[in-house]
This record gives sequence, C-alpha cells and structure tokens, in this order.
Amino acid sequence: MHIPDGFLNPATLAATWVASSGSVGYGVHRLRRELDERQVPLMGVTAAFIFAAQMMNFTVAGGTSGHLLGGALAAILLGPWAAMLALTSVLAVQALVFQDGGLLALGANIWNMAVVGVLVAWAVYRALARLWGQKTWGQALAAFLAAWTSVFVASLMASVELALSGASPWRVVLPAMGGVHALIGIGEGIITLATLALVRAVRPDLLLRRRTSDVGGAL
Amino acid sequence: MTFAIREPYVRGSSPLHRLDPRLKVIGTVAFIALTAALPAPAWKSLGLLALVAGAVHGAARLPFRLLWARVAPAMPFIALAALSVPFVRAGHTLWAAHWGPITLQVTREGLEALGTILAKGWLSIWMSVLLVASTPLPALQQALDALGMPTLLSSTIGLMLRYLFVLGEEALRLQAAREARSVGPGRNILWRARVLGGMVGSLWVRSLERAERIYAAMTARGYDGRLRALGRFTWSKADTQAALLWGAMLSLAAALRILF
Repeated sequence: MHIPDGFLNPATLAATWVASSGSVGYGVHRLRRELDERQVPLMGVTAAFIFAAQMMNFTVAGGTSGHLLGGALAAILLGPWAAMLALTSVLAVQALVFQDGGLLALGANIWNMAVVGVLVAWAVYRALARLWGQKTWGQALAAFLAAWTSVFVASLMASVELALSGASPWRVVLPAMGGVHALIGIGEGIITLATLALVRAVRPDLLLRRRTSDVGGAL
Repeated sequence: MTFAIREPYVRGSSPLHRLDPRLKVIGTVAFIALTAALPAPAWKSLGLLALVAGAVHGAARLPFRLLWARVAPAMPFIALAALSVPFVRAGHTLWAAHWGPITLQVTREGLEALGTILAKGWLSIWMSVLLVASTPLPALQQALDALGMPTLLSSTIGLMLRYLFVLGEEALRLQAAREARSVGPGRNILWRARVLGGMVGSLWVRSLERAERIYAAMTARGYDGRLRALGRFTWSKADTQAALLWGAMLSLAAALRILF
C-alpha cells in the first residue's frame, strides 16, 4: 500500500503533507504531555518491533506470502498517539532507507497508514470492546474487526489519492485496491487477534495496565 | 543468519560523502520534487536529470552495481501500480481488442504516461539510494532533527535505527524456529496466520523486555531524556559550491521542460 513517487499530483501531495504533519504534530504534543523520558527508548524499540514484525511472513497460497501491517495492533497495544508516532517512524525509515514508498508521497503514506489506519482501528476497537469487552470472544472479535477496518479504510484512502491525482481512474483503482485489501484485512485480523491472545496468555499485565490510563497498553 | 542493510559504502571519503548531511537531504528532496513535478512529455529534462544522477554516482565513487541491487528491485511495484495507465488514458489508439461489450485499447498518450512514471520512479529511487549509500544512518537522523523534525519523532527514529537490526534478527530467529518445526507450509491458511500471530506476540514481549533493559542501561549512563551526539555539522565552502551547482542543474532541467 506504500505509494511510490510519481503518482500523486502536487495538490494531493501538499494536502496529505499538511494533514499528516498536523496530525502527527498533535500526536507528539499529546504524547509529550502524557509520557516521561522513559518512553523514548520504548518508542524506538516499538517502532523497530513493528518493522521486524512486518518482516516475518506466512504462506498464503502457492508462491504468495502475507505479513502483518500492524496499525491496529499498535493502536491496541500502545494507544492511538504512540501508535501513530511509531508507524510514522516506520514509514519514514522505509521511505528513506529502504525505498519502500516515495519520499514526496511519504505524507500520503503517513496519512493513510499511520493516521487514518491507526485512528480508525482505535475507534473501532474502543467502541466494540466497550460493547462486548466482558467476553473473551468479544475482545477477539473487536480486535479482528479493528484490524480489518484499518487495512480496508487505509487502502480506500490510498485509492482516493491516486484517483484524485489522475494516476488511475476511480472505476479501476477503488474496486481493485478495496477488493485486494478486503482479503488482506482478514489475514491482518487473524494475526492481530492471535498476537493479542499470546500477549494476554504470557504477560497479561501489559494489556491490563491500559485500564488505568488513556495513553494505552504498555505505556 | 544475519539481517543488515549492507552499508559498505558510507565510510567513503568522496566529495559526496563529505558533504553536509543536511544539504544532501534537502538536495535529494529537491531533486525528487522536481522530477515529480515535470509534466509528461519531459524526456529532455528527465534525460538531463539522469545524467546528473549518473555524475553524482560517479563522483561518489559508488559501484554502479547499486543500480540493479538497490534501484531495480523497487521497480516491479511501480510497474504494477502503473499497469492500467496505457489502457485508460484517452488519445491516439495504437492497439485495440474487442470482446463483446468490452473494448481494451492502448493509446500513445497512455504509453508515454507509463514510460514517464517508470522513468520518474527510477530517478527518484536512484537519488535516494545515493543519499543513503553515502550517509551513515545516525548522521541522517541528526540531519532530520536539525531540519526541524519534532525531537520526540527524531529520537524515536534514531533509536529505531539502532535496534532495527537487533529486532530484525530476533524476527529471523523466530522464523527459523518455525521452519525447523514445520514440514511444508503447514495446515490451512487460518492456522498459518494464527502461528504468525503467536510469533508476533513473542516478538512484542521480547521487545518490551529489551526496551526495559535498554532504559536501565541508558539511565545508568546518565540519560536524561535527550539523545546527544558528539558529531557537529560543519558547513564548508565545498557545501556552498555543491548547493549552487545543484540549484543550477535543477533549474536547467526545469527550463528544458518550460522552454523546449
């Protein structure tokens, strides 16, 4: 879903840079108020964790393989602002060092995956966990749906940007991106809920701590 | 079993390696921004930009093997994303096929747009590869910090770069352990995704425990919330000359598109 350079027009590039730097700036502001200096190493390690988690893959079928994107997982484990910051760092390093996604398109990629993807996942998880949170299946379903929605909505965001830039017509890019990511979202949902199940079994304290503060999970 | 970006070139002493990292970051972004802004057809400008990139590559004394080792692997993704362009752009039809109500046609304008996207992708990735191949990662992070990135974000990126390889190898160990216990890919896709979820969970627990140890070690060494670096940026005469030359080249490329 990383948009390379050369696809987006200047208006879309400018709009996504303004939107994403505004959002990340607000996230940094919120975090600075709520965290102490202990969290900086934790943030760095978390960003490296998401990057490493994306490296591990599983066989889908034939020669294709899939991996975790991690937006929803980060939002559930860390809370929305820390997740936004961690994913922004991941996307910046991927664009700068690994040429995964363009440098100019970085604003759009941050907006799609680190801002919209994370906030949507957080909103869905919060709403559903409040409804069904008492039951184990309810928490699992909330995590699954948060992950699926996060991937699907982020891919729609990317399609809208590509179509607005005239890189690809609406009738091609929307169904193609939406269709593929509706499937990818299922894998994302299963991996996310399996990850949370393991953390809950091994270190439940990491998930319980969130109840006491709004910042989230481990922080 | 190791995972590392191969960085054998960053310790070079070429003119490009010695430039101020801040200038290299700004210059790279300006190059990519100009490349992206050129409307098709802009073959002369793109040709000039390719010559400029080639000259920088030569001046940095980097092996041209980087082109297929680092630039070419990114191209299939761009080609895939641009696949529909020759078919949907209106213009002179070069080729058409009809299946009942469906007509598929390729236009000259569409092919030109596809070629432009591929050329721009190649040039943009080439320039960012040259930046990374000639700048150590900590210097890159300090340059971003100096260019006004919020400190919390740039510290996160700095520490992330430091632990990327540690956790990357941790991930590869988990993957090797799974492979050692598995025959074939393993039951059905649902089960495989759940196994990966378990691995990600283990990685998360190990990462958090590592973060706690890192914090303890940093506190023991006097950490107070700020990352300090000994290296200071020094702006030299060569940096001014390089900046002027770069501006002239990019202006020339823009003029080629506007005037001719």
